Amino acid sequence: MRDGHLVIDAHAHIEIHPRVVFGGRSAEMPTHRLIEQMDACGIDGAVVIAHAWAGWSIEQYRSEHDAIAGEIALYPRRLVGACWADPMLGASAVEELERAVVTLGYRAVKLHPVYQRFVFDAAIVEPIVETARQLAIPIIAHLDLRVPGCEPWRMVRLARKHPDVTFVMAHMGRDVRALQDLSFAFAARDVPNVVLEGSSTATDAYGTFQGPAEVLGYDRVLFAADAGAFHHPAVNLLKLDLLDLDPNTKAHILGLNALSVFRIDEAEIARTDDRPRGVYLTAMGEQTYPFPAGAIQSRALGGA
Amino acid sequence: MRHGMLSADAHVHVFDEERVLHGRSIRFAAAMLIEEMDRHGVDLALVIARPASQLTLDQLTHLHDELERHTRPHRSRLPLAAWAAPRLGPDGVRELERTIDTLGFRAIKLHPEQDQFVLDDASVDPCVEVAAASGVPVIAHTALAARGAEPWRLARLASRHPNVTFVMAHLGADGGMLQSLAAVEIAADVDNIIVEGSATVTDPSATYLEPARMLGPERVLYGSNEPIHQMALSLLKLDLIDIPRDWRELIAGRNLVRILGLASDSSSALPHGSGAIT
Repeated sequence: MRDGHLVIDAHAHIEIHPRVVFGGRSAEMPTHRLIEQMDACGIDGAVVIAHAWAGWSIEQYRSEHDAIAGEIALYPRRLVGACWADPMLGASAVEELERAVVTLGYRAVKLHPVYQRFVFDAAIVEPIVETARQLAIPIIAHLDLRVPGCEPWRMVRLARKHPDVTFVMAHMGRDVRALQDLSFAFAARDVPNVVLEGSSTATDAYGTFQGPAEVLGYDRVLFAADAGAFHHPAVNLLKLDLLDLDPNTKAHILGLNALSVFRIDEAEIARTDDRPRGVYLTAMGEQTYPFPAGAIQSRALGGA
Repeated sequence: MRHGMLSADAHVHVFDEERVLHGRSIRFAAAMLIEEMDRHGVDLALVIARPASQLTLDQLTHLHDELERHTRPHRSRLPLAAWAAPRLGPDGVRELERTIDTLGFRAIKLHPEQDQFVLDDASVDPCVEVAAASGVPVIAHTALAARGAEPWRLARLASRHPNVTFVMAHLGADGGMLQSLAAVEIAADVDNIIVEGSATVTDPSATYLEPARMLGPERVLYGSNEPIHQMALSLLKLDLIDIPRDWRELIAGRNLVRILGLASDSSSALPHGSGAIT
């Protein structure tokens, strides 16, 4: 817990087997280390998203889903899972999605059109969306403004066609300028089944959390860290600490919205020790980052 | 000071009057910046001139004059960087010379995205030559998504001016580029480029640790991009990485002091020095 609030990280990863990614960086995050990091930061629960890569066979998906489910089962009061689906695999992807949710207990499905090379709002995605609707799970998608076919506005289009499916826009479109000017909050404003998630975003506290909450409402913004081998959850937690949010808004962004989106019963999640606002464990020991009195910034133009 | 060492922020802005930037209403007076620096133990911050639109020569001159006047009470802690406008031709060059020679500015900023030029275009060379003649560094806004501001263009520009120190601000301003260390790879080929980690995503190692390993710790700067981005967040990122103390001292402050030609151990050596480093 932080500052008296339940904290759920809506986007986390574990690396069961160390990998080399991003052209040479080593990715290591065994499950127990993720839990240790969550404990240190006061994160009570996390949505662990499975990994997959372009060209994987359905057997590889099954193996990954089994393995991640096994790790989640070690910490049933801390972790829930999101599986992957590759629309390019057709009916077998739908069958595996159903198995992952019904048999293995996954709570969401992740789509990654950048890795899997499909157009996010193309017809090929429809069976996955329909299955998510039937299973009553949200769709998390990694979208990227710079990759044709993966632009965040495609989520808005797709979500408009499927108003009874919740779509989670991971990383808020993955663009610093778009974060600063709240582009995708405005793009999603009129489509209420799109929720924004602020993991792996730049160091702009207002653009990550408060601005989107002002545009969309406090119930459509999720705290997330992209915790794992690279991103550190303390940075996004400190963003929330720096903002002058009312307690209800902060409680929803930090955890209550995730309970709702991922259909997690509050009683399922164990509570960590409560961590005070602005205090984090770092390589320099426990450090305090004082927060300013009052608002950092305010929106000026109304997003017309 | 932080952790018993000098702390210097390589990238901040001051907005004396309220203005709209990125659709947001912002006022961040010099006194507010000083409060923020004191809150976090930051001794020094390079204040970079930042117009919100393309300015005429008269407007740019006014902007520089007002920035100098507004920050003057805090000069020992707030060195300044001037705004270059290559489109203004010789008049723009003379304005840069005036900011350095008359107003005491310590650096030049190139922002191809805001001022609509191409970073490695020949029109930029006269501005860089002012930096060469004055011995001040050039800070370049880099952004993979902005045509004309891509980090590889800075490598081309810096290669043409090996005697000028260039600062690659924001490491390409792109999450994927940061995480793949691509901007650092670009900088690795050109010795006179230093990278600066302001306004980057929540990956502390890719922001500070890996660049220091690849370039050497003397070529990495802590920066925040206040007030749109928050000083505390970049400081936390730096605190989260486990590095030797001498590396931390360089990244946290000594590198900036070195490239600005300031002395970190004596306030009298600071420009218009009137106060001590905290």
